[in-house]
Amino acid sequence: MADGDKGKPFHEAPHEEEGLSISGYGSTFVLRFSRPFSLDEIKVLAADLIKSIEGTLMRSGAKGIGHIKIHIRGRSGYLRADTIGSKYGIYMDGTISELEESLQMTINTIALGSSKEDVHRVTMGSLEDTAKRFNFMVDEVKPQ
Amino acid sequence: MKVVQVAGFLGSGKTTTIIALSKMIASRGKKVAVIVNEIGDVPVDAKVVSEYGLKVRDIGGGCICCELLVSLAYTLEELARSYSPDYVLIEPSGVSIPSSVKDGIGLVKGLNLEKGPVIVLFDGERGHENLLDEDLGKFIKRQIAGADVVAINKIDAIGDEAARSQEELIRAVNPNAKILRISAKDGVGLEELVSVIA
Repeated sequence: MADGDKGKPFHEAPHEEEGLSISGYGSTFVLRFSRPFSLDEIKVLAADLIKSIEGTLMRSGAKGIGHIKIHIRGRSGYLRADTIGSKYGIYMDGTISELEESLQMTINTIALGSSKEDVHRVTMGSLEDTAKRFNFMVDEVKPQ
Repeated sequence: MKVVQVAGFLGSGKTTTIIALSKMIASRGKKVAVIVNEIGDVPVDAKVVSEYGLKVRDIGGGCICCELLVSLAYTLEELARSYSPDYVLIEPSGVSIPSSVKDGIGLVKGLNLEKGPVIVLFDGERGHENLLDEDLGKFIKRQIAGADVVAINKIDAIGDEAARSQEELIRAVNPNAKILRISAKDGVGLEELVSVIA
């Protein structure tokens, strides 16, 4: 245990103690496609969204990507996609066995050196851009 | 109920490792539950873990080493009552300090908890780069300092020389920790990691 950590489990978030600016945004959405999408198309969509979020954040002055994680659930399965920066690749796992007309997608973006507002704005903006490119409608699922 | 922490900085592969470890422990006939703590308001990791049929509880919107410590205690109590797992694997958020989470678990009274090892994952791909960053490096060293075991993950993506160099860096921060090389994605080194848990 680091000496400074002994006996003080109640403190402000540790990365804030260290002066690190790490901000995150996450939400869940329903995507409705104009035609059924295959697993391969969903993978391309997920990669497009991740690259768009990363690119926009870095152009906006972020120091780095903590992670960008996506969980997609359809009637016939799920897909998980995540990255710590696309130069390290985008890891995908899971399968969706049938064509899907709608999906539920949860996104979690964490960036280093960006404000929470910027991470929120960039994630939403990238999702809207991806929706235009892939021609789907997006509705946010409000937390219960 | 043995409580094991699998910590590490953002992107170090905690979720993938926990899924793999849980499946291996469950295959030995043991009941495993997973507690996932995420920095964001909406849990992604818990959704992913549950896709593998694992019993999971999520604690979101903050850090279980500080403001959500009470939630952690409540969740451990609830799991003990409703599921009686043999093992609880805790995935703290990537910005948690493992030693503080360990202290917090120590404050939980009235449960028959066995404290398992604190495992900290070190990202073989970009951990070295992060350590060289003045601010990130300081923070990651605090994480490593609280580990009983440091597992260099993503060993499949780096060479032997890079792994040796990372081992030296880790040993300089925490000379007492057991250091392992793993690839959670490929399963490399996981049997040895499981052996320090179960």
